[in-house]
Amino acid sequence: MSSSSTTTTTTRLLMLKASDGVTFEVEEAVATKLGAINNMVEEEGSEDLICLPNVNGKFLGMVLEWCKKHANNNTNSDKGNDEVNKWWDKEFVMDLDQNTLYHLLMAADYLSGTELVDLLTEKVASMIRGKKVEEIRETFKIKSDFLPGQEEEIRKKNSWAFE
Amino acid sequence: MDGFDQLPDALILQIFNSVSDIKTLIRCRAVSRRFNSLAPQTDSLQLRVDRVISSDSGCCGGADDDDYASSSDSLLLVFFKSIIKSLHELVSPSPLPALRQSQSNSPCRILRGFDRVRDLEIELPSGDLRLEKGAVVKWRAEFGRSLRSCAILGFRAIRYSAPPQLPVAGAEPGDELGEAADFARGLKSRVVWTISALIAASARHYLLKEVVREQRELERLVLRDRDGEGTVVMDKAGMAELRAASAAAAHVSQEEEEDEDEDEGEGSRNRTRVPSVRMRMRHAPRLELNDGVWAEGATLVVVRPSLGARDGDESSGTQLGRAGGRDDVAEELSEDAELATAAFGEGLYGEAVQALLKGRSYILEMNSF
Repeated sequence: MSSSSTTTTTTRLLMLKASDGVTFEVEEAVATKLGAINNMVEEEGSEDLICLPNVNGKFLGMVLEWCKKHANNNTNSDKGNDEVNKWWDKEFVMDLDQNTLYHLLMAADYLSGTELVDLLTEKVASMIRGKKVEEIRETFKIKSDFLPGQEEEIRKKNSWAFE
Repeated sequence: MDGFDQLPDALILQIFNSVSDIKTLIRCRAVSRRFNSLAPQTDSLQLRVDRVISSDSGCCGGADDDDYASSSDSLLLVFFKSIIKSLHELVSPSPLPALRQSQSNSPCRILRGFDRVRDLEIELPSGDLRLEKGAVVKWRAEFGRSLRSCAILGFRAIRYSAPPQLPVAGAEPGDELGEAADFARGLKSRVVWTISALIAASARHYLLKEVVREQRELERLVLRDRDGEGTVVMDKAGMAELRAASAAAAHVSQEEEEDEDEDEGEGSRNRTRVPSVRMRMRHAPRLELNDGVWAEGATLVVVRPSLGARDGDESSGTQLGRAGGRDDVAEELSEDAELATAAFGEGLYGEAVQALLKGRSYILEMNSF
């Protein structure tokens, strides 16, 4: 968090307050990468403190970390940025445990951070793609709740996909 | 509720859209009841066709010789006629007709479980063209009821060092005779590439008909192959046009009780008829690209239906009512550039396209086949 003592009038700071009371001080340009916050800023204008009752501090912090990284990378406007962002995104999602991944995804969705939602859904998708039914259940700890015969019916109808 | 189950339906659907692969999504249906109800709602799908069952339908017959005989009006066309026949054998039978026959896994049947598909990509296991060794040909075609445009990019060879100088020096800039000679050299194989690509494109388009008919929500349909050779693209308007045309054709054939004798001449060929087309061809004997890569015999062809050839289409006169003045040529050239740039993107191929676009272009016309 850069305590900007310089008089750069362009960077306005916003306070974001999470459900558990944790607050974050963020540059407007960073926070408005999130559609929900951008809307609030546009509608309510002068309000500097924004309360986000549906996101807790841990995940809000992570979402903001992602926004900040992308905002910073995009200011040095040369062509290598996409590469840098991609590399950084990969690092960002690499070691997330499943529970964090889901909460982060829900937080990003609630805050309308479209790009981050895309990144996280792709991460989950990559854990599903190409797997067998049993492997999907195991990966995501899902129990089959089909009635007897239902699963067989699905498999029979589309047998080519289960070979 | 914890783990995956805490995610709301909307996010799970986004995840499924991101999974995209139809095979995996069908497997997902067998995971749990929630998965089974959500997976069919996925609207962005990718279908990889892994297996090619060789086609046994006689698609290479010369049933249309009469058509050609009655319509020959130029020397070039006679030349085309002679090679089109052999080309039907050159282009390998497309894999999808076979898939249509094997009922259990035709793309249509597979897709029947999904009824909200808006965005669909079908990937074939390989390209269709059989080329000279070392040659590379790529194409991208847009279709409605028939061909709207096709951009074709070909190289006789790609080398990673400067090619040896040909005994006959290439043309100096401005030397028109020399340029024309360069252009004539290897013209036949470039025409073969072009026609092969058009045949492959129209065969692939034909295969999409059934999918287009059944999947009414589609907004974008792409058929490509794993080799990255050819791509067929249809947009929402193009698919609406195709549906309307098939509905009309079905109506007519019911009334006349003639089954096989279709207007569009598709009866025995398993491909959509290519309309009369006008092609702008650009060629460079050698192109030096970035990183010391050389392309030999580089060719760019942009194909469009001839003016007035798009019968039944008079209503959309805005695009077609051009008389052929200078402005129209300029417009055509810039459309060429747009089409070719969109088709081959950036990188090596895009670079070659940009270089070729700067050169002189030649127009060839060809009757419907």
